[in-house]
Amino acid sequence: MSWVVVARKDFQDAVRSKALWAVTAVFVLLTAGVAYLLAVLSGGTIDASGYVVFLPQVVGVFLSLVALMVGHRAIVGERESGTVKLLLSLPHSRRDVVLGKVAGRGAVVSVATVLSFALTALVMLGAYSSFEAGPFLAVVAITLTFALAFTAIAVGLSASLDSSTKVSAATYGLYVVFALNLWNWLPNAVNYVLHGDMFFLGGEPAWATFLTGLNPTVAYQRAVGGIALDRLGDVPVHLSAWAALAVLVAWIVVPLVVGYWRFDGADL
Amino acid sequence: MSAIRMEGVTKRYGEVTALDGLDLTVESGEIFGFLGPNGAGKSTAIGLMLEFIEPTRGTVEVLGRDVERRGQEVRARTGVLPEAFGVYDRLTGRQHVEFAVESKGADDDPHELLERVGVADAADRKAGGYSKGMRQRLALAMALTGSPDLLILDEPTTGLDPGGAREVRKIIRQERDRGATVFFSSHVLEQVEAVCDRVGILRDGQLVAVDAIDALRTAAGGGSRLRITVDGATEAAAAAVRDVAGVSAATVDGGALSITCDADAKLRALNAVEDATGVADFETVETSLEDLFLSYTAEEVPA
Repeated sequence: MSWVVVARKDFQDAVRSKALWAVTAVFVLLTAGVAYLLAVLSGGTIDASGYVVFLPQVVGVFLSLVALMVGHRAIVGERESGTVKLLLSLPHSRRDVVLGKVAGRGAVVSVATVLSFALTALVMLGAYSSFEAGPFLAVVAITLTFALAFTAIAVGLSASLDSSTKVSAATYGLYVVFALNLWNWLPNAVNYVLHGDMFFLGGEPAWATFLTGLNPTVAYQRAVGGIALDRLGDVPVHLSAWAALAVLVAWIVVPLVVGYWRFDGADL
Repeated sequence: MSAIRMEGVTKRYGEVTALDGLDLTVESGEIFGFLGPNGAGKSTAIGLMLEFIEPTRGTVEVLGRDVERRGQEVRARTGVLPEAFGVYDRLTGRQHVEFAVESKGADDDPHELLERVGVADAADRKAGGYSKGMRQRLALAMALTGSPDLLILDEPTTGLDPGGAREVRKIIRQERDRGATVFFSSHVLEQVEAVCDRVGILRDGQLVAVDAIDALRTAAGGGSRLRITVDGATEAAAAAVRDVAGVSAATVDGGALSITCDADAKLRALNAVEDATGVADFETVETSLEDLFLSYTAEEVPA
């Protein structure tokens, strides 16, 4: 299991980065802080479901940024510093490197996520009128999938491109598209190309809603809403929470496959 | 079985040809010096052996395995000191070697390896603070991990002082005596001469000579150069010497004749000069490695 060795080494290396810890600390304090603030503002009457509704908005914007920051130098950084030559002189395949990197960086992001939710849970237990463990844990599980998707996007880009400038541009460009949901305009663009019309005059068709949901940040919110909170109501399968979860899983797999394919064909 | 076998290997980067139909065989158990000026294609050839880059054409076999299909197996039994590598700044020297030990599934003691290459006292410091020479030693320790069958060392003495270079040569000999094959590249002739059983000289992406260094010396310089101080060095005297069998060149050089000839032609050349103008004094100069190297790597000498 060569990739496990790579992952362990990478985690060892990454956890020694002070910058990563600073980012993590900000993220942990932010999520727990928001939880506390809501309790104060509501005069202690808020229950956990109120926060869990709010949580994906906060987490979606910041955790994706944390994951991208943690992951985007994973491979291109090694190519630029020359450590990739030490790494690939050892009996690791390029697949081991991509898998090991996403596992190592994914572990870092997961630690940050779990820390932040643990602190949030403490705040809720102390300051909220009620706290249900079940939905909360479901949110944690979906959030970890979401975090891993953004880690995989970052590592996939890091494996695909040969300079950190390009990787940074692509990573933060994607962040803006996803976090500010510029992706939302994609169905309109498709509609314009197909029908010459930007807007859906007779209401948004199902395919457009589906396309919008391919944004991992939107998929995350749908998955949390449907699985943890049961708020989506009666929707067709391809718009369901489970479909949204499948979208998140696809955002883990596809960037890694593309990244591996590009990295495997690259001369170092 | 050959340790390394490259056949008809060509590597192009766009319009630039880095290697041009390279054939190279390194036998098991030898120390092979891979010599050539910077930019000759040495690191490209090594990159091909390690699967860092893919050949445009040709086959590369290391330890009897096709590198493109079974590179991981090859590297499991190969120790590598790469060129222009970096270290993990935030990890200690010991952690680097531990990583190599784990990656190779070996059971070496990292401390012993670090001691052997002379950086044991910096084992628990972060490698980001290491000097160039210490990094080189650290990478050598990683290369030695797991007692590999083959060591591929790309410019191993870069950044080392003469004492450090001597230690590296000692380790190279120890590894050969243990039974390992050592392939090492250098543009420094003395490094190669001091330790190699055979050398190959690379120029413009092609191997222009492969042999033991003494044989190369003989082949390249015709063995000897003779410098004869004469009473009257004339072009006529030089012309007379050129006719002597075994003399390949004779030129007038101030008050002396400079003659390049086979070792056994020295006396005949001397006699010819004596007959022509009279000899005042003479000395023989052995072909230096520098001459040897230049004779193979300079443009005007055909391969």
